[in-house]
Amino acid sequence: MSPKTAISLPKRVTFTLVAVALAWLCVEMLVLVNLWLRPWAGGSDYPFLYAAHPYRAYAPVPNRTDRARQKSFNSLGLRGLEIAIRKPADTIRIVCLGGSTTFGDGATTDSTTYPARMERLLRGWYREAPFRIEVINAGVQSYNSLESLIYFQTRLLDLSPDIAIAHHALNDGWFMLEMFDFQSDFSTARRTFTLPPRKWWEYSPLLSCCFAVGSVTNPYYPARFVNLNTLILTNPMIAMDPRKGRNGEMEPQMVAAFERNTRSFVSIARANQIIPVLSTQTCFDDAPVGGRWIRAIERLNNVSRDIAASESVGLIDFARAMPWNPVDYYDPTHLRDTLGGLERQARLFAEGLIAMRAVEQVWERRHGKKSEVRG
Amino acid sequence: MVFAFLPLAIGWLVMECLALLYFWVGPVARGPRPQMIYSPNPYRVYEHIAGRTDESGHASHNSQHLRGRDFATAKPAATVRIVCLGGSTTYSVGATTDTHTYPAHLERFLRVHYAKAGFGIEVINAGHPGYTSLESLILFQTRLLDFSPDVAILHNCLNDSWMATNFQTYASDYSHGRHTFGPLGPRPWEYSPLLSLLFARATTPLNPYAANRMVDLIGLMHTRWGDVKPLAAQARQERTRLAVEVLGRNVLSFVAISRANGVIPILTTETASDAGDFYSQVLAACNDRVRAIAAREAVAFVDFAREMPWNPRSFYDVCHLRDRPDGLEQKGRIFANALIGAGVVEQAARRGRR
Repeated sequence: MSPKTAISLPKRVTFTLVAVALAWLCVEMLVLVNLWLRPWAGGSDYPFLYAAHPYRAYAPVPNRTDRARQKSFNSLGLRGLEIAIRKPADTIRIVCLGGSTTFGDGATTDSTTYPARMERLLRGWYREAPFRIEVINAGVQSYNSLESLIYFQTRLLDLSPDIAIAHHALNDGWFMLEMFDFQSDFSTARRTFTLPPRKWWEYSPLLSCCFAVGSVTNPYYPARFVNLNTLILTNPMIAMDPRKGRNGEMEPQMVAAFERNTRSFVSIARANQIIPVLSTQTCFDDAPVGGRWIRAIERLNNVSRDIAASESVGLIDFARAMPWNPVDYYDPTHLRDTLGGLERQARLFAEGLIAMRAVEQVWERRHGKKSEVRG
Repeated sequence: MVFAFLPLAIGWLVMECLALLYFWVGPVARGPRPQMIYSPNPYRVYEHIAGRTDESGHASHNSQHLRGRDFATAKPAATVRIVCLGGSTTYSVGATTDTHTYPAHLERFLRVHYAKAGFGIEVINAGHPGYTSLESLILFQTRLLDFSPDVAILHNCLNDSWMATNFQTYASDYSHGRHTFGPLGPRPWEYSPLLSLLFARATTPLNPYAANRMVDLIGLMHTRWGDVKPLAAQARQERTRLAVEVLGRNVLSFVAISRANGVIPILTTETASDAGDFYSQVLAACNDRVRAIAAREAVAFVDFAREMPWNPRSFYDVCHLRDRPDGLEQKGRIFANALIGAGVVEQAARRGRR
């Protein structure tokens, strides 16, 4: 019997390391194969649909469609059909500014958002008129009154709109109630859209499997649970877990910031011969749990009502016309893609514009005579 | 195999150490280490970092991120507050101290003139190098209105003209040239002293061993610029028309927002040396548009381009004034005389009393 061969320490260490490395490699391969074989659970579209913008923090990327084929951006980065920058003759152009409630989060196609439905309703009403109505959906998910104001000034004026509808309160209210250290320019809460650099361990399928569930940049788990807020807020945790927010009440300086943005919208619109239209927003009535939200949004809605009254601006009081109800709304603020939901919103807005004769005013202004338009 | 890699690794390490030594004791170590004085802003590309002074020690930024001494957000009683908006010509890059900028001179002249008027005068320098009329407008809307100004002076034309002539394309929101501010951190390879030394031209201003001084503010906030093929005559005309339209609408919105918030707007033209090139043509057209808006909207107006044409004694480059009596001080005097002549300070004081 041969004597037992002694293995030197360096060899033992080497063999151990090689064995561990091989085992690790095997597990990595297994995880990778598992990821390949598993059905695709889908990833977030947001890193693909939006990009950084020097003046609006983020903006839709032109000519992009989401994976579900529910929303697409045209060559101007607007949701819906392609439009010409230069307004065609005998066209009355209406732009709808706002956040996700204008963009149409609940709409299953681009043609079922409230601006698209309103366009159809107005075209039906003015079908015998000598002009064509064009409604542009300029809503961008999560935009507040300031971002819409900058958007209006920097890009939408290029489209020579005749009427501009502002539909804001909810996103402003959310910033004001939940974000810490309020600044009137929202700069403590909003940051420029950025994708964080990929971490070194995210190249490993195994480590990604263990730790990268919420990562935006992981190649194996591509941001399945990441929403837009992750990419545009200084503290995205507040969006994910409301308990981490400020949970405060609306302060006077917050109301003043909203008022100032709304007033500036009206001033800029009028300085550019555009008829401004203000609107209020509907929010879930949280009175049974303190009513903090409904109070705050009502204060902002009152700002719009007051400005509309003092500046003789048309108002669509949507909050009163269509209060929250569980049938038409699928969450605290967004409407379902149903006749009682987005279609009703569009009808209320169309009726509001017809009642205030906004379209006729544009026509009269353009042709310098009393309108003979009949709806 | 091991013996092939080992000397290579040791050799690399030695070279890294030598490069580090160079950074520690070489000429780079003797100069002052610059601080980054700019930070990104989601709505206007960049802002100054509060409390920081530039490398030369000439310009410092107060707690409101603006050049000059500190001031309270709430306007003191019986005070007429004037904000000066603009780019580097308002920031006054030629001024050797914060008290020699044109807004600081303007404040002194107005205080002397209204010494017995029963109200105080406070002039805020809200100029940011590189800012166009659009960025000034956004700054005004988002931050300056917090300070309850009584008078707001808009002094933009040069940077708008620059944005129209230094890029191959043009977009009305200036997104053809501007990008979000960055990069603000060193790239991963910059942590290697050897690579930082070898590729010094490609480093960032925040390189851990030696800040890249060739990357300035313009480099940080623009996509490729200056490399423009000459435009055909018709394209030039069209570009000029667009630039004038965009400037005009920003100026008009500035006037509208000012008036909606009870602020008296003042418009101005800007001076640059006339080289007879495309830039000069666009600037002249932009100045003309501002004149036309001031006349049409009945806005008080300082025609600085005509009051102080370019001359080599007062200007040290194409558009920036020297820190001397016939330079920035003269500019302060021209603006003060225009404000006094238009009676806007008295008007603002009366409004304040009401």
